[in-house]
Amino acid sequence: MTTTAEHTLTITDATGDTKIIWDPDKPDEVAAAKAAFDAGKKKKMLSYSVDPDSGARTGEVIREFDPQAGKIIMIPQTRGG
Amino acid sequence: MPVYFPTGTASKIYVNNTADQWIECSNITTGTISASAAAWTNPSDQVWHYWTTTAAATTTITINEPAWDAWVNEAAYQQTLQRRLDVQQADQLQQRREQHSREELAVAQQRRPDIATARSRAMELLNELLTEEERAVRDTEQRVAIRGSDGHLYWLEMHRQTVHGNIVRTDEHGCLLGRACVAPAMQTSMGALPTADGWVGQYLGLKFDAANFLSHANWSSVRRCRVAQAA
Repeated sequence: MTTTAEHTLTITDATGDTKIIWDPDKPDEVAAAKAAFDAGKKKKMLSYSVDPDSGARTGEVIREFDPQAGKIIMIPQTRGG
Repeated sequence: MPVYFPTGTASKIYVNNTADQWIECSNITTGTISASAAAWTNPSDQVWHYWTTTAAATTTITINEPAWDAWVNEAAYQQTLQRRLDVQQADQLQQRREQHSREELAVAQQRRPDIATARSRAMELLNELLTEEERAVRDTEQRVAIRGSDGHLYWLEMHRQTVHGNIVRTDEHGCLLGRACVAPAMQTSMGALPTADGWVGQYLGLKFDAANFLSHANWSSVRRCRVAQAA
């Protein structure tokens, strides 16, 4: 990651994570990122949008894919241990 | 209850009256009893006999019932003790469950040949999210302080390299208020997630969605703030 203009979807998984980067001006990239997001939601993953510049100082839970979001992180659903 | 026999010309009605008096006496705490029982004898109960023969005049009886008070206090103490034992037992069960989950996850993680790379990537993601101060505390204390979106303060412990039972609710005094066991589902159909991915999920869950995140938690070591209790 070299510029803050990048938009990244990070899906945590057994490999650590899978990153999908898109440019909001490129519909095919947006579509690919949205498809990955929707696939994660189908698995009941949780999704957070965080400020890409300040770590996670600010953020929120999101339920729909936002092409303008700077950094989205998807996590498997929560379980009590 | 002993049976009292009338002597002389006493009739059955007097027996009933005596029994009524006795019942009435035994249920009161303070009262005045008039008795004219000189004509009664008791072949077997000397205490009753003494009372009936000496209480001919108006007598004030006060029953303090210390035995009753002691029994009530003892019952309350036993209930408190039982509650503490129940809590201790529940905590021990929860700790065993967490230990079992830790071992199970460790085995599943070790099955992956690329676990070292996965761990490194997951740690990189965590580092991207933590602020500089949080990273500094993590490096020195192996934990991260999080102000949850529910307003509570939490420690996300990392020293045991686990996501099970590693969330501590604390307060401004540093008192431990409870330990939560809740994390992202660490075992998926594609294999086990590295532990740091679990910490990422816990960090985000506490910071941005604490109430919902913790609604799945199993709690142990729940207690009150010691400073507030002492005040």
